[in-house]
Amino acid sequence: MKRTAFVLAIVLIVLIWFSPTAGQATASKVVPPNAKVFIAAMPDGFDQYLKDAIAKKKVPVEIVADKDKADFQITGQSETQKASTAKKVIMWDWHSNEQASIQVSNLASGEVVFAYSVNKVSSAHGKKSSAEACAKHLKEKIESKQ
Amino acid sequence: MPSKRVFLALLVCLFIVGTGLAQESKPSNLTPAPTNDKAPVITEEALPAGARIFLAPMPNGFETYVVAGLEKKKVPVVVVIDRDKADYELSGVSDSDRAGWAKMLFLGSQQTNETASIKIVNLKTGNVVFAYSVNKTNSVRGKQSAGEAVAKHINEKIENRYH
Repeated sequence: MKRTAFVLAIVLIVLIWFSPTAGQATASKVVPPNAKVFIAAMPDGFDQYLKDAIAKKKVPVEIVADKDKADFQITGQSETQKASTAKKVIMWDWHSNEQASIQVSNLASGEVVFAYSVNKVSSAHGKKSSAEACAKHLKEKIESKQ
Repeated sequence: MPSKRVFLALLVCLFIVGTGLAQESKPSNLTPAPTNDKAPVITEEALPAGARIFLAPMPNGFETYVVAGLEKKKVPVVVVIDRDKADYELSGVSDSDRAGWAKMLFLGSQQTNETASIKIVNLKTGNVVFAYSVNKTNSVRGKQSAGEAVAKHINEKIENRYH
């Protein structure tokens, strides 16, 4: 009787330990490869640059046009500061300054699983550069599986 | 001659009465504003690790830079996109000041000046548990720097290192 109770207790502990909810705190922060991602509209059409960058950098996600079909959502903010006349005349610089920030949220849990911000002074390729930086870091996040 | 003295005396009286009235009016400015029962209370309440925080929208999308800062500084909080699932709410304001031609010409700098201020409110009690403001002159990375400064100080608050 005593032995049965002991075995049952061990089984219970093992079951709890390996249950899907036990590792939820760490698992919920993961962006799995081939996850379905919806990219929300962003100011200045940065979402379009981000889609192109995700394709260029071969980020292992599937972009969907319908939010209901997505597991994750990318939202963000982008700002371009075009070179002013003063910058062109005084600094002899035509490039724009770019800053952008994105966050990836798990639509099921409602938690933000990844966020990244970029600031490029005199960006060589404008928004394209900042979008590619975001895509590159998203890819690193997916591949790190953390 | 006497009329001149009278005139001077009158001027002195007017000055004394005027200053007296001015001093009297001062306390009326200092009277406390009517207290509002729902006014936020700033407390020494701790911000626990693993707290679920909702970031309210801020001007210029500064909230996304704060989230990125929290991620970079590895602050032990869970950011949620649904306010109903949160224990705390982070709200604030942010402003950027671009470099003008004079700054470029005389200082050779095209960096922005950034200022931001945030507060974290416990949604159950309504108390402000943390507040912080940052001002970065010639911010090297613009809003990113300000967002990371905010995140760093939230981390210090969680670790009870904030003074």
